[in-house]
Amino acid sequence: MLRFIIRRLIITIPTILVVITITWGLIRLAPGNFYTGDKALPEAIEQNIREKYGLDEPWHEQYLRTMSHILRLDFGTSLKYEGKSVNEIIARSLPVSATVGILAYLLALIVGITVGSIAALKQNSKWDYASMTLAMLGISIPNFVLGPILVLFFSLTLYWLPPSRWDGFPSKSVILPVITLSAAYMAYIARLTRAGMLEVLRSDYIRTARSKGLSETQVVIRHALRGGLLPVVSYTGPALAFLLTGTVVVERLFVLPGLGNNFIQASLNRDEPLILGIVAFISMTLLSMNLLVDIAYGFLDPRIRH
Amino acid sequence: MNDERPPTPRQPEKPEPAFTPLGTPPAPPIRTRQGDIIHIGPELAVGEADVRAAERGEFVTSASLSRDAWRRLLKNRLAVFGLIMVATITLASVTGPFLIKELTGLTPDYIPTDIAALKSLPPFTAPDGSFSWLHPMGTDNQGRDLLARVLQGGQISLMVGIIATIMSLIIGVSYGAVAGYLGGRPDSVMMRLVDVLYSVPYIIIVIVLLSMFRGQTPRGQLILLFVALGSVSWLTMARIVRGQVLSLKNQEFVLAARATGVSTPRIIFRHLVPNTIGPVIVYATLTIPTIMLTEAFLSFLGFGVQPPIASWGSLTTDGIQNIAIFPWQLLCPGVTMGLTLFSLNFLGDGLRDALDPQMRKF
Repeated sequence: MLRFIIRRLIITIPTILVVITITWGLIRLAPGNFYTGDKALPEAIEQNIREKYGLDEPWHEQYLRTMSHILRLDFGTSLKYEGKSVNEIIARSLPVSATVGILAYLLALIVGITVGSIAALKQNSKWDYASMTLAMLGISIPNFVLGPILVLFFSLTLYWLPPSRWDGFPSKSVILPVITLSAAYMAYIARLTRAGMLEVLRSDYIRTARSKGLSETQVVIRHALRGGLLPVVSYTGPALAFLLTGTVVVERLFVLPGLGNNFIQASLNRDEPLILGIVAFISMTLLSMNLLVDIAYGFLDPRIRH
Repeated sequence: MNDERPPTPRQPEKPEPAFTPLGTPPAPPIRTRQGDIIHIGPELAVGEADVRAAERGEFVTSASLSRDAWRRLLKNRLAVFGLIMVATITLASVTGPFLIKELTGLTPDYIPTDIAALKSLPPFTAPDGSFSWLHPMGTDNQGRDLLARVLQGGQISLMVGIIATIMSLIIGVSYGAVAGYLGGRPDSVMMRLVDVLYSVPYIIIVIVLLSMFRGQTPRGQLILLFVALGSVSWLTMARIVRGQVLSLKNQEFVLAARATGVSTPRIIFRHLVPNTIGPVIVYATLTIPTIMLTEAFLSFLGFGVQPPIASWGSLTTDGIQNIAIFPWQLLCPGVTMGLTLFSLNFLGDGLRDALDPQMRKF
């Protein structure tokens, strides 16, 4: 297990470096610059700006400097929001994204596993077909179509929930973003659970459990779910990545002051330190989550312990 | 010396003997209760049957395999539904704008000159509020016919999906096949790279790419979109093809090709790749909706197609802004896109079940 973790860590670090390098390269390769806005700058001013931000140094020195700062988790200050450090911006917007993301994931897990298990237990019944068609619908409808439809119904017709704003966690403003974000995962998890459960329910150890005289509830909850949920656990890693893109949409849609919204804004502003900071932060989070998922998987399924 | 030979063993040149070597005559035909005649060929003699089947070669097997798959696909009602819907929507997107122009004179970018029509009309409504067939999906803010726009947007969305998928196919299949065939150290280096790229949050990089190189021409942005989406979605394809090639490369036909001096690239692309076609088709069918969804997502963020080009994603995004007053502007393109993705997903699932029953998820 320890060797496995170390091996994964050895892949993880170059991955982060690759991501940051690609991002940095794209920002630098693109025509234009963060200071070339609407008006042309006089030569002298441009020269001053280049000197101030170290843009006149050879590119490899700039690259190494940027990298060494990022590896020390010092992301610098934003170019557009003056006087704000990137760490400060991340620290302020992360709670919003994390709240929406975690709630959406929990909701998706609870509903997805329940629906998927019921569909598997009543295979080929009306419930099975209905829930699986619904699940396919959930996968196929983009969240930026679903979100506005929910807004149209719950906010603009029924006046129950606010269409867009952020009042912090326990408030009505959380409900619509969380549902919008979780719909696709819910659907996917339901499909995965169903497939996993169906496979497990046919296996020998379930037959053994049944023949021991355990009640159906016990068979399902104590024996089948543990094996049947393995695909769901292994989906957690990709799900986090999807959750990330999902939050970008949901934050745009409901105007939430989260990480995704800041990232899009930073990309549009060509705010290099902020882009690199958020990219580095997101990659690190994602990769450590993936690592955790793999470790958890090893504990749940002794067969693939490395 | 002869590297044109196809990977399948050749058909036996002599016709089948009417009698088995043991001298037993062919069994008489059996008549079933429905009156069908079943012929039992002499090759059913035990022992020899195995040899004959092998002699016949893969030609017969593969033909019946695809026919089998087709039959299984047609039995899957949801997959047939998906197939029909995909065909209908594709046909409508390709021919629709021309038909509408022929029938009504409306084009996707036609802005009416009549002041009364210069507003967003609900579906099936004329400017004076009465029922009309002129705009089955209503019109947008400038009074442009929404049906024509949705159909033309479909052309762009489907094109992005298909071209980016073809790109990911080309990259993924070559990469996976080369890694799988070479094996050993090149394989482990190449697949380690895929592992690294797998954990890259690529959507972020695509956003950075599209935002940094944005704002050239709409056509340039579209090409950038193909490249960006195609170049990040080949990883799974590479893994699938590598797995297939690994299991195929030790079979006799590869050995035979190698023994006759066929060059390595030729073995990979002429002998191995054609044999991986089943899983590749399945995965490609499932990649198209994913890429279309990503394109729509990027268009929603403002990084996708630029006006005057419109896709389902950008039409939906325009619709979101007017949702409180003109909900059909969101619902028409949104539902069309949802329906297409839904059908493509069902078709892909059905194809997987039909082509590879073992991968079937019950």
